Amino acid sequence: MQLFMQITLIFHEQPKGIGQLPFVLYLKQVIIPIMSKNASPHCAWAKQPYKTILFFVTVCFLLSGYRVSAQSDNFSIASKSFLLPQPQAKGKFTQALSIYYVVPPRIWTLDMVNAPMFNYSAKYSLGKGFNVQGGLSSLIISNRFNFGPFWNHQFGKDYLGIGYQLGFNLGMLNHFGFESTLTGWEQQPSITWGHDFGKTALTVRGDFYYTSSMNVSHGGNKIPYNSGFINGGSITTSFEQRLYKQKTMSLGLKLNYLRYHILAWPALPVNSYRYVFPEFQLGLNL
Amino acid sequence: MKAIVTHTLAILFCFLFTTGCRKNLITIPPGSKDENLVNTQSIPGSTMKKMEGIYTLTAGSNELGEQFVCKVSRYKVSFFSNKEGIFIILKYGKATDGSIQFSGFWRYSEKKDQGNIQFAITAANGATDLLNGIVNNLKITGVNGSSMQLQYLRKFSDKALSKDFMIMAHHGVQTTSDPPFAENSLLNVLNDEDYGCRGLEFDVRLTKDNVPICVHDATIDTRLTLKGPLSGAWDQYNFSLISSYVTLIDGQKVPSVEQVLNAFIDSTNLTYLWLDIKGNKDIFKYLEPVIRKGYARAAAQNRIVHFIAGMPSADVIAEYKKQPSYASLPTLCEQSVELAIENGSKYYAPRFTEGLVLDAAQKAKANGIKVLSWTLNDKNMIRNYLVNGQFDGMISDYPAYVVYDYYTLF
Repeated sequence: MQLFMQITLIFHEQPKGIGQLPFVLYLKQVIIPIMSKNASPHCAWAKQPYKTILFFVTVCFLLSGYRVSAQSDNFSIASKSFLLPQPQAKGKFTQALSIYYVVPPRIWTLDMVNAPMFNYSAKYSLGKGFNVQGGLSSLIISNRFNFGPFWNHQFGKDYLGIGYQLGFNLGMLNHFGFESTLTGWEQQPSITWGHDFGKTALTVRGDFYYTSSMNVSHGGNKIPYNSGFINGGSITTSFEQRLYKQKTMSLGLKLNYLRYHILAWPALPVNSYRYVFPEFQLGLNL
Repeated sequence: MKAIVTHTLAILFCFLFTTGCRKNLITIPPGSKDENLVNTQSIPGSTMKKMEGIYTLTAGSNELGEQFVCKVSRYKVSFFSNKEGIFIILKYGKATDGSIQFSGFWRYSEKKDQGNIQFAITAANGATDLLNGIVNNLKITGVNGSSMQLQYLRKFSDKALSKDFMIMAHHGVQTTSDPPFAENSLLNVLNDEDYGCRGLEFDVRLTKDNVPICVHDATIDTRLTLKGPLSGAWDQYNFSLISSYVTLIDGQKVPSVEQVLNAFIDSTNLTYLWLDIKGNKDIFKYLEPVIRKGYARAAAQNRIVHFIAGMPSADVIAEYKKQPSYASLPTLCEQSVELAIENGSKYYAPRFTEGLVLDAAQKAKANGIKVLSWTLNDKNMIRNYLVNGQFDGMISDYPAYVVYDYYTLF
């Protein structure tokens, strides 16, 4: 709690511009060493406290920095948000770029290097609350394509979206002692709730993942997974606000409960049980 | 004010998600009450060894599985189930009524669910026969709350027994999910045989005073150790300092290779110890006398053991070449069969991601080199590699899967 108060105080006392540089220094020299020493055992992200904390607190810092400049005009998050499940005019096309920082359980990835995934998503409105959405998440060796329809509805300042996407996972790694590929199809229904605060928006989304087929190959030897299985689910909470002009950015925290994640497939394709692990998302509405 | 609240909430989310986590802590095996072992007499392990084989469930709950592989270690009898890597580890003794009583625990491999369990073989169900080396009609029945009854089905096939298959625990750990003991620790050495292993794989680094110790990560960290005053690389500190101030996550101390070898030789029937060399400068120079001393100790006890120095990289091979006298001791090469041949290694161990490496395996065998695959954890993959590969052994984080599949497939 004391640490949280420290971060909060600094955050609000140094709200904008170049004056925030000491904040980052303070973060590096004081906060991160504290976190590093107090990290819980066996947390994957505790092994990289510098990267993780700097990444997210810097995001908060960015969000805070622009709160002053984003106040007195007719900007409306409902019309500019990418994540809100708002009904939009027929033919409207929107897109977003994101960075996903997945923190898989340490026992999945003992010797693996972790890195953020990049995501491109787009949606095209069909009118009457319907749209189709598609996207690609990639770490070069690990890729996930998804595509599918959504239906959205507005209740005053609240929005509800129900969707279904078909996902295709593709992993390929032929270096560092790996001669491995993974392919798999996944069904991904979801439900999203969003609230419009005027200039900011909060979105909560739940996803369910059913893996209908999967094939893994090592050195040409195929390991079949004959029957489909429930991979698990996730809940994502995202906060979205204006970044500049009419562009918005979002910060999302996703809690996964999965048997496998495409990011970690080279280490351990499918586990017998599900694990809880976080994923941090930073998005820019293009 | 609204903005402050909003941003404070955002940071709170960050803080909670960054610092909160699912701790993968130790799950110590449950202490058993052993009421049925009171006043029992010990039975030689060599006698109990006769009961090794395949068992089937003939009555009672199938909650722990329906078919089992029975293995006997130096002091325990263990059963490995067809269901989700469940294993049962039991102490035993001969009761005054002529029965053989068992008491111990069961556990899942990949989750920490576990509990106590007790069995008995009555005289009528084959206890007397077993003590005389006959097992054909052996029935082992649950007591004190367990309704299971297991019937001896068959002994292990000659093929399974003739292969000298090396089932090894990765980092010595019997189950990586909520393991019973800290990895690379003496309790792994003392217990791995009960978990069906014929050997284990440990990691080796040097301390500042050049003592080879068993630890995986390059630095002292909270994955492996409890919070303490020391931090940074292991080779900054003398072994005595590490022993005094570093505690593994289950309360044990970081063992030296010498301590590991002594426990391995004196207290187990294990055969293979793969020492994965992490590449400190001149590490083979300091490892060699420890290994030679270990072999001498084993010879004095008529123990046949194999202490294998694993060479995972070109850097470690370069260190190995700096110590020519080490060439007479067994080594293992991970990189390629060609390098294994070139360096006189007795073992070649490709990562599972290279596949079955059938050509390389044949080449290795033609040169008298044994082939191991590492680290296989996926049930599908373990079975696939056992059936289709030509491996002489496997390393796994869940050796119970390998034990069941190996003895039932062959």
